[in-house]
Amino acid sequence: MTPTVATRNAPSAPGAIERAICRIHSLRARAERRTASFWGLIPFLAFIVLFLGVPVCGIVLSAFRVADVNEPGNYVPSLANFAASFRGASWDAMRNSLQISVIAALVGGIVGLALAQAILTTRSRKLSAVVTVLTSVLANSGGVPLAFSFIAAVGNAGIITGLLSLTDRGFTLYSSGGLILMYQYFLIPTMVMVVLPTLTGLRVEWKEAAASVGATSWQFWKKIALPIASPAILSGFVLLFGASFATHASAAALIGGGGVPLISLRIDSGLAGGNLAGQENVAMALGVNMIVVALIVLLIYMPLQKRSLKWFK
Amino acid sequence: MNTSRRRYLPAVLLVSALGLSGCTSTSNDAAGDVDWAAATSVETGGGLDSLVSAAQAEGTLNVMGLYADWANYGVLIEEFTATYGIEVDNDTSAGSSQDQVNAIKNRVGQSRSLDYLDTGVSFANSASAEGLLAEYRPATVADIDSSFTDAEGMWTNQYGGYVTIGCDAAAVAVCPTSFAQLNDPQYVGKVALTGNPAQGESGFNAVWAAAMATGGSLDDIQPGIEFMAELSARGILIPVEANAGTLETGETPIIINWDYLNLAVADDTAAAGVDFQVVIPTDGTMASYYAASINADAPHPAAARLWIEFMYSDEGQNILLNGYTRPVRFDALIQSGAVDTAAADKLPIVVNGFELPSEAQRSSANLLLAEKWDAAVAS
Repeated sequence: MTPTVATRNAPSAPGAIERAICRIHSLRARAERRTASFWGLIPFLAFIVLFLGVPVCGIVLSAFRVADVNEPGNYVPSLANFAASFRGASWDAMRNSLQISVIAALVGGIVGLALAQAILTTRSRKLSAVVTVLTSVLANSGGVPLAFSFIAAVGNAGIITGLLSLTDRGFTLYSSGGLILMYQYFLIPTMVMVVLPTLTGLRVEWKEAAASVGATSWQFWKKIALPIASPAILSGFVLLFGASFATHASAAALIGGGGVPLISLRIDSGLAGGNLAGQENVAMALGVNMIVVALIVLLIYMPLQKRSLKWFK
Repeated sequence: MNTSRRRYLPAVLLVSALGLSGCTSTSNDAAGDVDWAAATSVETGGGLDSLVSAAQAEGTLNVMGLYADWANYGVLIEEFTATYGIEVDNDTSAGSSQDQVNAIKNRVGQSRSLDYLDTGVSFANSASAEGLLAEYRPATVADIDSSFTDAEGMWTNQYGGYVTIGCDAAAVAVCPTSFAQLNDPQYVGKVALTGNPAQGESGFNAVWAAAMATGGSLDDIQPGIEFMAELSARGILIPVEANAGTLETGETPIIINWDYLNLAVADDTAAAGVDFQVVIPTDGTMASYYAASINADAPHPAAARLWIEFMYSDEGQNILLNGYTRPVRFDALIQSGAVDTAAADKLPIVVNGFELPSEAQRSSANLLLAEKWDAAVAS
């Protein structure tokens, strides 16, 4: 019942998102008609092949080769690298990375969603515009500077640590919890960035219509808003998971000394050689495992995103 | 390799420039018929003059990852170019031991391959086993104990250092001088390594030095792992990667690292009020030396050999000494009186003797550490 009411009450002039999507669709249709414009894609495709395709092939090929013990410098095909990647410290790192990424994504997802809704509730266009710019900057922050800011703020000798006597409360930045906290700096803005357009698309008229037939605010969220927004929320979560999973530089600066094994750090150690020569191909196998996880994530993400767009056509 | 910034003693430049300028302009005859790629010493190639002219004909030396602030390589390169007029093409986009070995593997037959390699001994050994290195011994090899050279002449240690405890006396009431003293509640949350011991040479040797202090040996790094695990469990050792920044903010007032890196950090942070004192722990001594080698497929075989001769000369060794490293001919320099005493006096005093681990000892210690470290210090 409610959707029909909502549609009938919808304003005749489509909103900004609808207009943008219509534009994308008409552009696409035009592009299909003009086969010539395909050639415009060539630089992009060449870029993809050279900087994504070739390296991925290299990683996969190396992952299936091990050094020949009898003839140094020669390599033979083998599954030994993968066997090693599912054993001992490498496997611990994989499990720990998955666990940290899921928790970090859950926290970031929930906080980001609440924040996005709070921003919308203010109904301030200016705030929305500022937030949009800010989130896209913050979502891309990371690396050693990020880690160092956290060390200076909430490290053992950090300013906030001292003010709130965090150490006495059992808090330490150098733990899984610390990593999850640091990740929020870029995860929450990412979530806001992903769900803000969808939440904006939930028209006030829908809520008013639901209210006019006696729905409470809770019922509106449960029966209307969340089902419509859930694909965007889930795809946001998947994106956050991927971002946490792949984090390397900031994590290395924070807990590189050991104690919190991560798959990205493990790959680094294998590739850089560390003290042990000849671990590069095990690192490649770990890389392939990560690519597989990323592919699974993408496979979940893509249909979800399609569904979430459907409501705003 | 680390890339912390350093300030240098420009005086060394002048002194060394004057010292070596006499060797350059000499006879140029018959330089063309010597195959320097096959020469295993300067004599077998026909002497230094012939080497210099052949190297000058090549004109360039390709190297990788010789950061200006690492072991004073910046000055060494400037001096080499100033003395012989040979350009040094130093690719600092990468530079770990593995990066260098990968570069010579991937660039076989190319003019942009590397001539000289500065790697850990393990990497030199594995590169040698793959036939990637050229046999060559510097003219001053007689000064170098055989434990610092490869039996087949594929590499020679050029400089090294000791594991030290660096401590900011301005931030810590009493600075520890031994591993035993580190295990004290007053140091909770104050001690860090510069990286994962399972990955980096510095952390690895720090754990090994701790093993030496706690009943371990070159055959047994396990007590060191247990000691560090205890420090970690008590909250004394934290997993942050220590650097000049974490020292300055007071996050890691105590850093276990190579003497040459800790001393460089001391210079860097002195202006910020850090009083960083660097000592070799009295109960656990561990030293490690880097290995110099020449690519068997070097695009500039003569320049590579001249670079080696320069690095192992008194001048070259003193330049390395000014980077707070211990040049491999340190003892010989002291005996002959050629040593730069001002630079030598800055190094922490060595209390106990040391033995370098064999390749087998290194790899078994490494394997154990790689599997056990993360679990041992797990939070």
